[in-house]
Amino acid sequence: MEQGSKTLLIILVAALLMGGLVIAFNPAYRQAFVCLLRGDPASSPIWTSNRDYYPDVALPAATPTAADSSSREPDHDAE
Amino acid sequence: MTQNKLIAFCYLFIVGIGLAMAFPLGSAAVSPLTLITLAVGLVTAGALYVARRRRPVIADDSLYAPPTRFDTLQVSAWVLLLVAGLLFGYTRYLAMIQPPDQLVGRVRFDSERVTWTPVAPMSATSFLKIRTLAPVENDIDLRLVGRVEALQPARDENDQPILDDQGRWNFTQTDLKQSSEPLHIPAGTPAGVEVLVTQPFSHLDRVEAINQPASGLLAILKPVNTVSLFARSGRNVVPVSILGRITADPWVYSFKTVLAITPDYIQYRPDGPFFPVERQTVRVTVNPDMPGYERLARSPAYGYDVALSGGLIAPPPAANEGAFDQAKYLRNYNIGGQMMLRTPRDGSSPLSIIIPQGSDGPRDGNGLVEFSLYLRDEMVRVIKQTMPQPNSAFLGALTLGLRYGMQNTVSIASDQHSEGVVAPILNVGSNSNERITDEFRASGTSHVLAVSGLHVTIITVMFMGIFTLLKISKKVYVPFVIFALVIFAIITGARPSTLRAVIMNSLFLLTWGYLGQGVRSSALLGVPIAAFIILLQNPAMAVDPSFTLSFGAILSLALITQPFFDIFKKAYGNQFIALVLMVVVLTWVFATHWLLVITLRFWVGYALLGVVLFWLARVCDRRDIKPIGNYGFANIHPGVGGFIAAQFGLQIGMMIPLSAYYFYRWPVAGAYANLLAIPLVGIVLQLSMLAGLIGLIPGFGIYIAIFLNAANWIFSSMFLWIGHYFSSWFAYPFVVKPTLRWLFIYYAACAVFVWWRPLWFRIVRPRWNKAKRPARLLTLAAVALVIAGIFASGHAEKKVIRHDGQLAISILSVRYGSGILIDTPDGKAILVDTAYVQTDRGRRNDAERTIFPHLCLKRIGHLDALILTSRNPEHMAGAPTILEHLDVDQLLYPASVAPRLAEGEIADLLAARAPERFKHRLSSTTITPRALVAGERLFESEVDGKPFAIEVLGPPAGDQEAPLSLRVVFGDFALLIPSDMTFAQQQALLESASEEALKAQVVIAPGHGTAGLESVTIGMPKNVERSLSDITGKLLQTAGAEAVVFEFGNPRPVVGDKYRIALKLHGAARRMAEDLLPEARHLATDTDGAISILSDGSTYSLDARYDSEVGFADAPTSLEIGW
Repeated sequence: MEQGSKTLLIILVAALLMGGLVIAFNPAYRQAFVCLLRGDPASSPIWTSNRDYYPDVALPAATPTAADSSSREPDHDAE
Repeated sequence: MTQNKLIAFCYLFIVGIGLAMAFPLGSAAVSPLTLITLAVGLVTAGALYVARRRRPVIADDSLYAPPTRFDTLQVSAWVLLLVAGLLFGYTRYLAMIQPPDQLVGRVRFDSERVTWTPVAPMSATSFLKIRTLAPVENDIDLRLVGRVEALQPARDENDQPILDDQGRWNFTQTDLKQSSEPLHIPAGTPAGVEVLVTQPFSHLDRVEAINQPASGLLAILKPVNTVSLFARSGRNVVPVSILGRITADPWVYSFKTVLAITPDYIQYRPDGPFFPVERQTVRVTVNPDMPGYERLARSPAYGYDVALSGGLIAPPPAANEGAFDQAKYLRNYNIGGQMMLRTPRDGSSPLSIIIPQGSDGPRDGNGLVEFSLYLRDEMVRVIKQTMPQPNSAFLGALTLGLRYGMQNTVSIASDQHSEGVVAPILNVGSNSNERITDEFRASGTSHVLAVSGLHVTIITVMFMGIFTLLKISKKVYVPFVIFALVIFAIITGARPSTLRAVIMNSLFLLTWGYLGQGVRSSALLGVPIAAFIILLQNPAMAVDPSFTLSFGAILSLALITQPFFDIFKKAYGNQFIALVLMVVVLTWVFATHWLLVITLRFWVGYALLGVVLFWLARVCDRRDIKPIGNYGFANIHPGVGGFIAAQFGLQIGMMIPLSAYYFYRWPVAGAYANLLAIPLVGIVLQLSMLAGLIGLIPGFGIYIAIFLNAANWIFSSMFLWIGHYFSSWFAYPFVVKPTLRWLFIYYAACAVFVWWRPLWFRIVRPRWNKAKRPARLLTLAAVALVIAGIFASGHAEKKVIRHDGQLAISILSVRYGSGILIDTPDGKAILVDTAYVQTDRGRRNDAERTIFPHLCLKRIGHLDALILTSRNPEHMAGAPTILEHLDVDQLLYPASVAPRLAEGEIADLLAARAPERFKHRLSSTTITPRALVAGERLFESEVDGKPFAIEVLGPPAGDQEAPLSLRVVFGDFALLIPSDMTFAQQQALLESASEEALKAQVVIAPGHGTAGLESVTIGMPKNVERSLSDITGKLLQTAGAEAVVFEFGNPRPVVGDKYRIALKLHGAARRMAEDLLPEARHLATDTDGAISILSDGSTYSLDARYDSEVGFADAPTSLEIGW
């Protein structure tokens, strides 16, 4: 078990370092981090890319988006 | 010993469930069986107690010890225990599927009077059942007389049902006299027949005889008010009203939401009383255009009380033999009916959320579940802020079981992501529009989306690691880890695979934390106990893939891994090189030419290669040429070696047999992809879980989460690449479905492989050494006979499945499209048309979903011909799928199809399988395409003096427009397939062909019954009724059709906006056929399911899959089913 906890610690530290590098060099992550620092996560490119992913889960101040009502299920034999 | 008994009892419980599924008794048997089970259980407990006290001391219980002398008492206790387990399993399953009816009273008829003997008052308002207790000798006409306490919900000023602050529905009760319609039980009805009286009763006062039969004995029963009792079949059913509660987390898709509603009350008839409901749930589908949809399409909807109204449909069984059985699947999940809510024209909502009196909002559900769902939503919010698409969808599915979020997520290699807001790490963009879920399925890594033992174990280890880091004693933290696992199970939907893993890990933690036991012993005990707990709650789960695959996986890991490891570690030095080379060659052929793998010539060649390589290895050993010395499998790190052996164990024990049995497919790539994918999941899941949990900490949490998930972006991308590349490198072939008999034989062989040592040393060898020569010969002969018998029975089984010597035709139910399998009397398999492939939302490829399962069930791995009759997509869109996965000798088509064969995927496939290509000549899987013209006769043969042929009636030579029209003839029987002929083409056929050449007992309606649609621009075509009767009608009459089959389904995906016209045309065509041929049978593949025709050349039979019309119900998606 000692070994397991050591591995977990290594993974954690390595991930934090690696994450730091990604944030430093990837423009989208850099911008997302800056948006979080500014307290404006809604304009983060990462949040924007997830716009259609579980739209009911919104940022605390925002209103959940309803699903697209134009995409109604057909009346007959649809999957 | 106690542990062994517990294990044996649990396994026999499962066997008992299996027996009840195969040979179920009626509901009348439940009560006596329960008593017998209890009695046997008590006797068993006594016997075990006595046997334990008198147990002799065993000196040596190792595997290699000689057999011990049988102790009668011990053996009796064991037998009793096994019988108790068997009976318990059998009774539990029976009680679930056939809940025992309550006996209300008995009626005896004699020549003078009717004697009504009440037994027990009715427990609630219900329908009644009449069961004949003796054979009925004279007609019985009777009427039931009693009362009904009619419940109607009290309503508030908004006309909504009132729910009090305790969560109870308020009703007004009216006592009414009730008498049933006259009931008729005809003479000759045997004992045990039941008649349902669909009129509500709360009390039954008496039974009145309308006639005076000389004798008769009946029981009046009150059935249990399950949801399925109120579900109706057919289209346009009368709506029911339900008062109930949402009892599970809603499944939110982008285009619909599926709710699990447990009804408290159901109103069966619009003005009738409400019935209290005791069991089962309703699967309700709501669409985004429904008012108030957004309040339902989210986690907090769990626990809401609701009132709704709509058609309650009995789930339809599989429309095609071998296809997905919706009814069975939903029954396994205790779902008794389905509703698809439609918004009425007035715009009101068919579903209302009811707020209890005195409350500000709707009720919450179970506190623990509410907390878990809240936690999940918070973690989704963290993921959405820290991980871009498509990785976020993958992370949500992997960590939180949110598979529905992956519904439309396309491959990481899609251009869609390259051009997205967040560019991928590496731009591997291509025009791949495969969904990630499909790539995972094809690469054999989709198990990571079904939260199972792997996830739970990783999370267990992670939490144990965290607590150990914090220097907390295991005796203190074990309960916390178990609590976390329970929360995780709830968050991820508590599917059988998750429950199994949570129960097993909890048992392990308890035995490890407090009893100091090891992993292996707790696993061997944990598997059957987990199975017992899950099946005790829902025994129907025993055959559900999520249950079977999960237990198959853990048993394979526990039992089959070690024998493989033992074999592999014997290979070292040159033998090891030979073994590696063999694996490399096999992998190369798997990746490059699957159709060669399934030939006998490949395996003969492969075996020869093995002989040569291992012989060379020996030669080199003798000459002391050892390039790697004595390095071998045993020198590999035990963790890595064990992991490789585990992959073999999983493939042999679970993937190959069970994947073939459930899905007719085997992901070849799985064995390779998982070598990388499983270790990667360990990292991705831990980082994602840590990021999700740390991200919940107010303030700094989200900043640490973005660091962790930024790193995880790389690892999760690697996983998505594995899915993408392995699915494109390796085939995802269809395989023949094994029957239960073959599965049993396969697993018996696996058992011998696993336990060969104790079997050999303790049972076979001692007896073999003692036996004399004749006994040995006799034993060998018996073994040879058993093996020969197995193969002979397999051959006979195939003959029965393929209807040897007869013409078997399956007109498959492939929605608005065509797919007909012709199994000729001389054993040839010919497929006519390949159905439609829907590529937009709700993708559906009927060649994959319907045609292939049917072929696999029929054990057809080779087609003598694929005939494409029309260039329309509903006839040929599935052709690339068929050609890619199947060995097809000939491709036959009319001239009008030729341009389609020269473009796209099908052109590439035909080029690759051209007769001059060596690769496919090697496996004899080249394809010869050929255009057909009128007058040709195909596959001519003679069986029992009756000629068989497929006659080509059209198109005439030089016609570049007309579809292929065929007549399948065997002796006196004929089937006419006109395909998509327009009215003009039908007229031309009538004029060109002789009356005799068109004669057919069964005729497929031209153009699915929508001929004329091709010329539609706006509105119904002119003179369509006249064309239908003058041309199509004349064709049917000339043929002398005894049965007309419409290959029909939802036309919208195929014809787009013209679907309303198509529906009208179809209706008109059916009416015309029914009017002109009133004596004929009129069938449609959407309402009657697949049509099977069997002919011996003199007579024929025609059977529809459905006995009665089925209702249309929203089908569970593959994401919901989990495969």
